[in-house]
Amino acid sequence: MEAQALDNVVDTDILVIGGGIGGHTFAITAKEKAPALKVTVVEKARAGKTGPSALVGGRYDGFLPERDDFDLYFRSRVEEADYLCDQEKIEDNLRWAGDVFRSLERWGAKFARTGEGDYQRPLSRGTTRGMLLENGGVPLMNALNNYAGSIGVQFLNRIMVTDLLSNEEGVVGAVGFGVRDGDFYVFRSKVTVLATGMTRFKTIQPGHRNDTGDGYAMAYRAGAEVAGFDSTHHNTYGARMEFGPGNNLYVGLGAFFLNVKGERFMHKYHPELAERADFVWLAPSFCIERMEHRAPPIYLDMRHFTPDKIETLWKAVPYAMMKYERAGVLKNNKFVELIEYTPEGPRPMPSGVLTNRNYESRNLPGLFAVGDVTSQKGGGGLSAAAISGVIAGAFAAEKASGNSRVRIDGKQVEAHKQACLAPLKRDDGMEPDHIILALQEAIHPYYVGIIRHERRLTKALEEVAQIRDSLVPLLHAYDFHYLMSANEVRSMVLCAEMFLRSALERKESRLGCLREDYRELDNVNWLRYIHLKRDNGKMKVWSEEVPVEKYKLKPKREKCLHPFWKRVEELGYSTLVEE
Amino acid sequence: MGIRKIDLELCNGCGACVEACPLDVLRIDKATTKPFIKYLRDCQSCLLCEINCPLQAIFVSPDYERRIPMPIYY
Repeated sequence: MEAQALDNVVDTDILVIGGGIGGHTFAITAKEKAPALKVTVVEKARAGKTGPSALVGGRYDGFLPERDDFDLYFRSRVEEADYLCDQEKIEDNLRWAGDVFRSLERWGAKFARTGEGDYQRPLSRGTTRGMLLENGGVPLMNALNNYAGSIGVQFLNRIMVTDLLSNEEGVVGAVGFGVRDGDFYVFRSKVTVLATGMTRFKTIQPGHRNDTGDGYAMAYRAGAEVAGFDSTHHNTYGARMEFGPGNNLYVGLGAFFLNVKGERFMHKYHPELAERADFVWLAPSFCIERMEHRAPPIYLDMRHFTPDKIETLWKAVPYAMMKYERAGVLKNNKFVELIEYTPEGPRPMPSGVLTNRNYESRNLPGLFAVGDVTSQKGGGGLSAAAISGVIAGAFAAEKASGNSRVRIDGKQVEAHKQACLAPLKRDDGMEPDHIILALQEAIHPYYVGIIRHERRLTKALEEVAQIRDSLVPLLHAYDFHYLMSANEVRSMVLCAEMFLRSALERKESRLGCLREDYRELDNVNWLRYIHLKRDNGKMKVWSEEVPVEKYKLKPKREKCLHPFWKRVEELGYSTLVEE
Repeated sequence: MGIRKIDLELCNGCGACVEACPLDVLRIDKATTKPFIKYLRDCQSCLLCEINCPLQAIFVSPDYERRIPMPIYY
């Protein structure tokens, strides 16, 4: 049965799922390489205004080859990842960084400059520097969106893609529905790319609530091998108000974190970087303060910021500043109040589809993944998404030019359609919101995602399985908007299970996986990635060695107490969660 | 709690806010051709509707009323 008789069929050479920065740089690169190809971007919100790209914290993590030391950046990225990284992709990322940065400028992006005409490069989290976006991510994404449109990239907005289509040759398209009109779409493509961002379980920061792991979920359901869900980075941000973005910039400019006693504490945990410590150090420090009864609350303090710093913030994150003013935190261009802060819930990162150096799936030909949907991307944030999009876009254009027209399976289309429309067809049931709350309660506690223990991860997994088996089948949507929410819940519940199963598998402490019951960083046995795959309807978990022998930088093959745990011991703090 | 007000006297019904919203909070009323706040619970206070409004007819507040269970509050 051909699907054409039933639904809106969109034929395209290249299908881009997701309209953030990675989707844009991919689409633009592919279209510029092969102008005759039809390139279609499908987005559940509005391309260029979706996810964290447009609402980024003002900073572009950019290595400038003419100015920065390659070896220093390379080493810092490998070491910050505790060697759990693809060094070839880091090398590619750095080699392409300058070209991509200049391309972004050619496509219309504006970066802030000093009075002397140099790029402004303020300090930020960690040891390396980035560039500052003029007026944040909104003009950047507007520019990319306009440029893509001007060269003939097609955009289809307000359509949520829910599943990939595949045949014996690989991925051949996708299906989805209009979130405003309910129309069902079948996309038939020679090459498909996931650019759907990560998953964050509907947390509080603006820009993060489009990130519901839809790409992870559809890749997994289609049988793609995925990896890295054990490794979670926990951002920190406003606990009670929808402030932000800009956390990276605030700490870079010298903001303090204060505990309930009004004391700064980060310098105790990380004497060198203090508040500028990486997430994998920052969020656990908040948790130890909590365990020592010095939090919550934890406050962000910017009251000491001088006018030049305030001016930088207005330049890079103007909308966050407007909100501080409205909440009375910022008065007459001075911060007058503290801002209550918290780590966010777990966000697996770097995690996603296992891809080769061209960002094509290791086991599903025709499927590419860029930005946060790829398990290893050689860097972080906006720049890694932009660079991976450019690298993959070039290969995808070549591949799509060679591939012949594909045939799709009507039965597969029908099965996916029934699954995604089920919440609408049910007469009665639960609102998606209730299930989101249950999911947050299962995985958000600090003693589940950040300070981990087998017992608590197992309990959380039981809770998530209960949600999956008892609540998800009751998902009910009043209309197409709620149908989108219901399908986001399907994605998030699956992602929560992927996170917990992967976290249970890693029996050591590394990066964002701090285990109370396995405190050693174990470079003898655990320099391994955790992989997942759907296998006969079950989630199969296995691990694979990081091929460090072929890489430039090799760690000492030894076990030692994880440096964070070591520091906590030196400070004499209790390191056991009260249960 | 996110978007608080659309001044329908200032609004000319251009639909830029409905077009911009990343979370599909706003829709157009077919009768008046002007926007209304349909899914307030989904608003994230990103300000994109407000800054895309050519007539400054929208006001967004960063207050948040719903409970999101955050890690260290357990």
